[in-house]
Amino acid sequence: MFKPKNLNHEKFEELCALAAIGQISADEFSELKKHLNHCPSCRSTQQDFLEIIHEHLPLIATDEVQAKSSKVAFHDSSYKQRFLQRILQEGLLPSKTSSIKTKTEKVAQNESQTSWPETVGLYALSGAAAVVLAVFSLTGFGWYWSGSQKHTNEVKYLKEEVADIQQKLSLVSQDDPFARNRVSNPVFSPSKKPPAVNSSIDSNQLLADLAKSKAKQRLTLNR
Amino acid sequence: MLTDIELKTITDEELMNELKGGRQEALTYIFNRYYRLVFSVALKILRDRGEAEDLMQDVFIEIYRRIKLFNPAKGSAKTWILQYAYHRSLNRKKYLALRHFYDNPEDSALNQFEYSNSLSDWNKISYEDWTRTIKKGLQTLSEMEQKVLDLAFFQGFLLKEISVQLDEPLSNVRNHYYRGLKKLRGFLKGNTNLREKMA
Repeated sequence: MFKPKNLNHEKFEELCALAAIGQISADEFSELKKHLNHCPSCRSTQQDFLEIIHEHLPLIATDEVQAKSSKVAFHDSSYKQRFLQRILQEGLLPSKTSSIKTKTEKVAQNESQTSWPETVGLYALSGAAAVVLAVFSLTGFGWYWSGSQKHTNEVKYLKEEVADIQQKLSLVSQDDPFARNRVSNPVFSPSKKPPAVNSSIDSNQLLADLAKSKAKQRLTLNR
Repeated sequence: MLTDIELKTITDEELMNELKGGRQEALTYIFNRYYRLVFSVALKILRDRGEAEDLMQDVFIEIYRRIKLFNPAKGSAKTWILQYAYHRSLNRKKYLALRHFYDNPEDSALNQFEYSNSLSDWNKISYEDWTRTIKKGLQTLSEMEQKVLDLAFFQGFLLKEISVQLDEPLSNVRNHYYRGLKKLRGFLKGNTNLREKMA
């Protein structure tokens, strides 16, 4: 036989079951709220559903959740540290003595250090990253160092070359009147373009010219 | 007074007793043993790591504040903590789902349920015995009711998602869930009444 009143209760009981897990719409919520205000039977049902969901079913969830909880990945120490900060802020741990506070912090620190399965992976990863960084740094420094050494050697070599040439030119200038012009217009003057001919070749040429002129002088004197 | 090393090695129940006796440091050891468990329950139900972490902290703080209620004769510390984890997670989920239309969350008829360790009202037996009774009760449900209840409660799926997963209209899924819960309630009530009559 059709019983509209019972059917109505059935509807609200269903809403109570849905509300217990927070899966109810705004309109349904409003409707249920009005009904619960004047229906002790549905209020009792609601209380039972809440208890089953909140207290009874968790009893059989232990093993499954335990198995799954080990798969949840997160960084241990940060969670512990934040929790510790909160309980210290809320005064749940003795704040009257700083020694206990420090001790508790040490406990949390030790605990986080001993929970190695998660942290070992993290340390290994950060260690590997540090090694890679060090290798790159050393390689980069080596490259820079060798480059800079090379550059220094080149400058040193060129300076020696310049000094050598200048010495030769000063010797030449005593016999060669054109050499004076060459000395006053140095090869590496920044205001002038360097000559196409290498400076060392130029000085050799001068030495060769000098040798020739001296040989001529000797011949002339011998004659 | 136990040393830090001893605190680290004693059983859960002894640790709870230490906390009950005023040894506040015991809380950090309890946290260290069970925060993964609590976090995984919270994450499964709330699906948000930030919310789950806040809730995990709330659970341990509540355990600290209500430690006097813990009775090792009734069940293990792990079960007790897990119950708190579910209770707080479901309450939080309910609040998050309904917050947009709570006039006053504190006064709401739907928010009046407070965790009261009310298992003792249903039975006078240990958690272990009651767990077996609940499992028996679940076996009386139809296959579809069991599946929907498992997905909604233990796996943390929304009924809309279950509807898609099982290729069933949402109205049917809601009804399977409600029917299953109602049958379980009837079974547990009947079991309780039977025991009371026998006692």
